[in-house]
Order: sequence, then C-alpha cells, then structure tokens
Amino acid sequence: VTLKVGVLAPEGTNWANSLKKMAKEIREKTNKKVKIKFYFGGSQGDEPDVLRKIRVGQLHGGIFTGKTLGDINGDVRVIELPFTFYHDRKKALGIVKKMEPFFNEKFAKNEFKNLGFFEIGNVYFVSQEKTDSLKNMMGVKIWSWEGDKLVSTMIETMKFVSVPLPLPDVLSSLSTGIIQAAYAPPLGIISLQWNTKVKYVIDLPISFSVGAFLLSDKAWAKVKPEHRKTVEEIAAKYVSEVNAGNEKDNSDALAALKSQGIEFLKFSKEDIERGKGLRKEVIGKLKGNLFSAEALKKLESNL
Amino acid sequence: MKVLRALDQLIEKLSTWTLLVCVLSMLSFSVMAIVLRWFNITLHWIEPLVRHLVFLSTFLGGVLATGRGTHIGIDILGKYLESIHSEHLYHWIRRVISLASFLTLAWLIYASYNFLLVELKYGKPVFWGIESGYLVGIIPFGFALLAYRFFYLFVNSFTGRKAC
Amino acid sequence: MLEIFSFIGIILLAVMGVPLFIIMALAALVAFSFSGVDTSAVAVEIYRLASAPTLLTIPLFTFAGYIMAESKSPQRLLRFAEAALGWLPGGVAIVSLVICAFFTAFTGASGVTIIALGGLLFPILKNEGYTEKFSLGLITTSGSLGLLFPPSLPIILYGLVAKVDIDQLFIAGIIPGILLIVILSLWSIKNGKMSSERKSFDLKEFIDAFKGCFFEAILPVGVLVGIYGGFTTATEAAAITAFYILIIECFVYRDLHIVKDIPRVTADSMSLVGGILLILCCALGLTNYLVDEEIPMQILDFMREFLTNKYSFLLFLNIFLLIVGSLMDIFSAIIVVVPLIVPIAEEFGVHPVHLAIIFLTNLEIGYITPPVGINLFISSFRFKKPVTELYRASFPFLLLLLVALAIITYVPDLSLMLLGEGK
Ligand code: NA
Ligand code: NA
Repeated sequence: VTLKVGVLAPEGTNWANSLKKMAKEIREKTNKKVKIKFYFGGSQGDEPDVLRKIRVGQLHGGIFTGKTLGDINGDVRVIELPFTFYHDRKKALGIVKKMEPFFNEKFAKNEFKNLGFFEIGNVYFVSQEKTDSLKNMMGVKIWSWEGDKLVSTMIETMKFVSVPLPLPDVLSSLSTGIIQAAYAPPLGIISLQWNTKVKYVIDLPISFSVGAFLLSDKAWAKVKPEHRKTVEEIAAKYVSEVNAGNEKDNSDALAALKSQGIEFLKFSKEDIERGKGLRKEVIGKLKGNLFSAEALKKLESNL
Repeated sequence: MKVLRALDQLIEKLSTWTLLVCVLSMLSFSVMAIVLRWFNITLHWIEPLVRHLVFLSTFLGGVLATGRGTHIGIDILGKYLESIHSEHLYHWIRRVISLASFLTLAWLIYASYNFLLVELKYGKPVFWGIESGYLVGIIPFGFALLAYRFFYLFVNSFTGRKAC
Repeated sequence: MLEIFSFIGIILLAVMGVPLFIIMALAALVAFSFSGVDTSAVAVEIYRLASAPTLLTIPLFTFAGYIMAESKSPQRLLRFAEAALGWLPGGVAIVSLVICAFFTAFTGASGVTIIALGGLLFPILKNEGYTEKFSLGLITTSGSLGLLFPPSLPIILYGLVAKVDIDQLFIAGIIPGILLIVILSLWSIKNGKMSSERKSFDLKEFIDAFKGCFFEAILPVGVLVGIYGGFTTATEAAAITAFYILIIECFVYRDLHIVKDIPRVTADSMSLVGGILLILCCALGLTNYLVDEEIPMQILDFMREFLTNKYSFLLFLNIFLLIVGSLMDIFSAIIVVVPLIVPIAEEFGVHPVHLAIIFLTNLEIGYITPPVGINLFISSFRFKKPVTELYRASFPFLLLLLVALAIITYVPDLSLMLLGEGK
C-alpha cells in the first residue's frame, strides 16, 4: 500500500528530511509493503485542501498544524489558546503528552488515526509596522489563516483588522501589502521566508503550536495488521526526532532573525495583563463551540 | 424544441442579470472595504464573500461565452476547414464539439456533486454563517448551466437552424 | 493501450476546437480515473480558485478596460497623443503604438484593441502616407503591444499561477515594454514619408486635448503611483480603477448610460473573464494530477540530460514558447505551461521575474505568428482582408519583435534593474 501524505513544510528543511527518513525506514522494515509518499511544500495545496483531498480519497494523510487538527477535532485547540504558556514550551509539550489519549480518542471518532503529535513551537507575531503595543496594532492588516476560528475570534475580540488567506499566499501578500503582519513559530517564519518581508517581531509567544501526523481510517485499514505496530513505532521514533529538531530549529531561527537586524519588540506589563483578559474572553466565545468544556477542564487541571 | 430554446434563453437572461449584480457588488463591497479601513473598521465577511462572487461569476461568464461561441480553444482544424469552405464537415465538427463538451460537463457535475456531498458533511461556515458545503454547490450548479447550453447547441444542430 | 487511445482522442478533440477548459477537465478526469483516484479530486482543485487573494483583479480591471473601450475614450486619447507626438517624423505611427499599448494594458490583449482602435487608426495612418501593408501590419502588431505594462491581465495571471509578486512584475515589464515600442517606432520613422508636410507642435491644441482626456490620462499614473507608492494593493487598485472609470464614463463624460450600456458591457467583459477563469480552474485539476504523479520532476530530469547551461536553456525556452504562443492563446498558455517551466527555470538559475518577462514577450509575439496568431485573425475579420495578406503585412514586425526578444532574453538587467536586483 502507498500512503500519500500532504505536508506544508518545504523540501530541504530538517523536518522534511526526518520525514523522508521515516518513509524510508518504514518501507524497509515492512518489506516494501507500506510506502509513504510525502508531498512537501504545499504542492497539494493549503492544509484545508489536503484535508478535502483526504476526504475524497485522493490523499491518505497529512501532517497538520493545530488549525486543521481543530477542524477534525476542535478539542486540540485548547493547547493553542493565547497567553497560556508564554515561554514555557516544556510545560506545554508535557500537557500535550498527558492529553494525547484523550485527543486520539476523538480523532478516532472522526475517522482519523494519529501517528503522533509534533511540537511546532511558540508562535510569534511578525510585522512590517512597529507594533510595540496593543494600541499600535490597531489598523494593521493581520493575516489570519483561512478558516482559523481561534485566531479570527482573537483578532475580532481585540478589534484588529484580519485578512483571511491560505498559508501559501502569505509571503506574496506581505510583499503586495494585502497584509502587514502574520504569525508563526520561528522555524516557520524562516522556512516560509517571511523574514525577508518583515521588520519586527513581537517578543512575546502568544501561543504554543502543535501538529500531528494523521492518516484516514480508510487508509490505516489498508495497512496489514502485522505492519501496523512497525509503522507506529517507527513513526513515534521520528516524531521525537522531529520534535528535538524543531526545538533547535526554533532557537536557531530566533537567532537568525536577530542577526538579520529584525527588531524584537517588548510589550508593556499592562498590555500583557490585557492579554490575560483577552484569553478569558476568547474562551467564553469558543467553549462548547470550537472545543468542549471537558477539554478545557483537562487543560486547566494540568496547568 | 421551443421549450428547450426558451429554457436556453432563460439561462442566458438570468446569467446576464446575476452577473451584473455580482460585478457591481464585488465592486461596491471592495470599495466599501477600502473606505471603512480608513476608519479602522473591518467587516470580516467582505473578503470571502467577494471571492465567492468572483467564483460564481466565473461560471456565469462561461455560460455567456458558451452562448456566444467565444470559448478559447485551439481550433486549428476548424480554422482550416473554414478557409477551404468545407461547410458540411465544419457543421459536423461543431456537433462533435457540443456533444463532447456536454458529456465532459456531465462527468464534471457528477464529480463535483460527490465533492459537494463530502463538503456538506464536513464543511464549516465561511461567511454570514453559510457553510462551505453550500458554497461548493456553486461548482455543480455552474457546470449544470454550462452543460445545458452545450446540450441545447447539440440538439439544435439537428433541427436546421445552424449553431453559430 | 487504453491510456494512449484516450490521450490521442483528447488531443484530437482539442485540435477540432473543443473549448480548452473542457479539454483540461476531461484530461484531468480521465487521468485520475486511470490512476484509480476518485474524480471529485478535480472538483476539490477547482474550489481552490475561491480562495485566491488576487483573483479579484482580473474581473475588475477587465471590466474597467471594456468600459473605456466602449466609451469615446479612444478618440480623446488619440487626439491628445496626436497633439503631443504628431509633429515628430513618424509621429502618427508612434501615437498609434502608444495608444494601442495603453489600451492593451487595460483590456488584457483580448482583441479589444484592434476592434476598438483599428477602425480609428487605419485611415489616419494611410492618410499620413503609410502603405496599406505597413498600416495593417502596425495595427495587427499593436493589438498585443503593451502586454508588459501594468495592469495587464496576462501579467496578473502569470503572477497568480507562478506565485510571483504581481507588483514586482508590473515594475519589471516597464523597460522591456518600452524597448518594444522604441524598436517599432524606429521602424515606423524609417517607413514614413519624410517628404510629406510636417505638422508643427500646437500648444493650444495640446492643452485642449489634454483637458479633453484629463480624467483618463491620469489613470495609468494613478495606478502606478498607487501600487508602487505602496498606497494600495493590486486588488484595491483594481477596485478603485473600476469604480473610477465607471463614474467618469457614465457621469463625467456621459459616453455610456449606466442602465442602457453597463449591463451589456458587464456581460461582454465577464464572458471573456469567465472563459479565462474556467480554463484556470480546470487547469488546476490537471495540474493536480501532474503534481500527484510528480511529472514536473520527471521533465526536469529529462531536460538536465540535454541542456547544460542557462543559455542553452533560454534558447530552448524561446523556441518552445514561440511555438506555444502561435498555437495557444496567451491565457491558456500561461495557465498550462507556467507551472511546468517555473521549477525548471529555477534549476537553471533564471530569475523568476526575468522568466516572467521572457515568457510574456514570447506570447506577445505569438499573437502575430502564423499560422494561428490570434491578432492575424482579428485583423482579418476587422479589415475584411484574407489572413494570408496579414501574414505578409506583419512579417517585418515579427522579425523586429524577435530581435527585441533576443535582447530581453540575454540582457536580464532590462527586466531586473528597476527592481534593484540587476547585477
Ligand atoms: Na500576489
Ligand atoms: Na499568489
């Protein structure tokens, strides 16, 4: 069986390289019975396109970020609530691990098999304008990932300007002025080359971004039972390799941004406090809507 | 035959007027968005609405192009036959073109209907609370209008009156 | 076996003149069926068109261009250009070139230029002492001149398909576009009757003519300043332009009636836009199949065997595109060929913006390349002349444009210097 998997991470990144090694090892250990074919760099489209293609059966899986995971299982988004972990990514990752069985159960209910959660990293705002306070962010055209309810709710709550776009269009839209600001983990900022179009980074991680390697149940059923364990084990091994790699790539990326002369902006104490208030408001709007009260409770009890 | 003709013309009329509404609304909404931005106001539904208006216009514009016979094609053979005044063969070719187009569109309707069913099941609201499933409906709907027009061209080619 | 049979069948249908969007859709549906993938994958790809951020520019700029073409704006602009340049030797021919370029930039080289301006310019050129053959050749060629100037539809479409910044392309096209006009202008000066009496520059007429077309003449300046000055995005500029032109032609010049004329103009412009965008979305379905099967990679591997450096690649590219340009219209050529060429050109170290300009220049030339260059047919239709006569009339112009193409191809700085990326 050949499993076709769409990935946004571009070819040549450490992430892509680890995935290639994963595919190779799986092919070898299953005597070429299970082949995984990755389509890197969004060549199969943005994540929603990949998800649609899985649903009509053209593709079999995807490496998705939280936004698209949330389209399948909204509970995952509690991890990405703004102003929850700040710089503490270790704590965030620990909670993801603790909640993994809970999430996987819901993925299974929605016809997906999860081969593992990725740490993508802390999410930063990048901007062409000097957005060093919430007030200065008013009127700046901020990208929001098309269909991302969490981010669009957050931006609307703050009364900021958001422009929904597919991820592959962000770079060109930054240079044509369709948007002036965007958000991503540092490794994403570098590998998508947004660093060439922005001048400022807000030095305050707003959220912790997770990803996962999902296969459709239909595709997973085609993998012979005797191979499933092998696939799961090899996947788990490379998921931790990717996570370690991503941690390093993120800190390297931050250093690279600094050395390129991109200015790191600090928010005032008051603005950070207002951020906490914002978090409550966003939760109020999304609880029972995007994610369940149960998921939120599990998160809070672990904090 | 009269009924088929009337239906074809109804499609032409409806498409023309809907297109007018689409173009004028995408124009006014876009201008409105620019003006509102001066006052730091954004209406989040404008962007997706306008994009779907363009999407709908694509099909309706195609419907008009079908009626006018102005679809872009390679048409080397047609031009050649025209130049040697082979009316009879040219007429036959027109017939094959409309039939092939109609059949392909029928296949497209089937394919996009299947996608529609999937999207209706999993879709999410895009703007004004309209689910993406309904918006995907633009595709089979648009292809159905196009298919009918090619069907009419095909039938019409047998009843004397020559298609353009 | 069945695969080859279907492939030949589809090619045959294409040559017969089945609309290209049908051909693309059919090819995609057939290809996916053979590889056992549900055909609704084609529909998924079609729906991606609904989230393309710069797509809106296409209907809006085309709408604006059609309104202008339907109004008396060609006459007003012609009067102004004559007043400004008529005193030059060959001035009238140059005026024709400039006006046609302006119109083509706004109407997207859709044949509107020849239809709207041909009838006006032809008698003027003949009156000036140019031969019929020269005049026909000039108008036929000018029908696609200006393709490289903003906000031309082919540039926008190219940017959309190749994922290159549209505003960079707008800047990059200016100098090569001027080069084409200059070369054709020199040819016009050479062919003009030097003996015929020369008009002198009339300042009053110049000012009157400028006042007459003021609102239209400032438009290109407005669009350029708006986009390059960073005041608007291409999408916003399209909205403002369309709105502005609508107001100007309906309420200031009152050439068009908002109720009597605008519905007709909308239908005319949208039938063109619909035709193009249908090809675009059906091509997305076919491209999806090519990506799925990793065809571009295979072509790339194949080409690496034969082409050893950038220059041999560029030569190959030009020959290939001239053939494509004479067989296909510009929009389908962009949609079909660009996704295949872009990764290959990147591999050979061709700057993506330079590639775009080479690509568009080639296709511009394709408009007058026999046997099926579309301008030849439009002129034949407009002036009621046999196509073969137009082959002959435009041949010298074809040669000149090829010279310009060679310059544009092998001097990348022409395209890149305004971007500050030339060496
Ligand atoms: Na763009
Ligand atoms: Na783009």
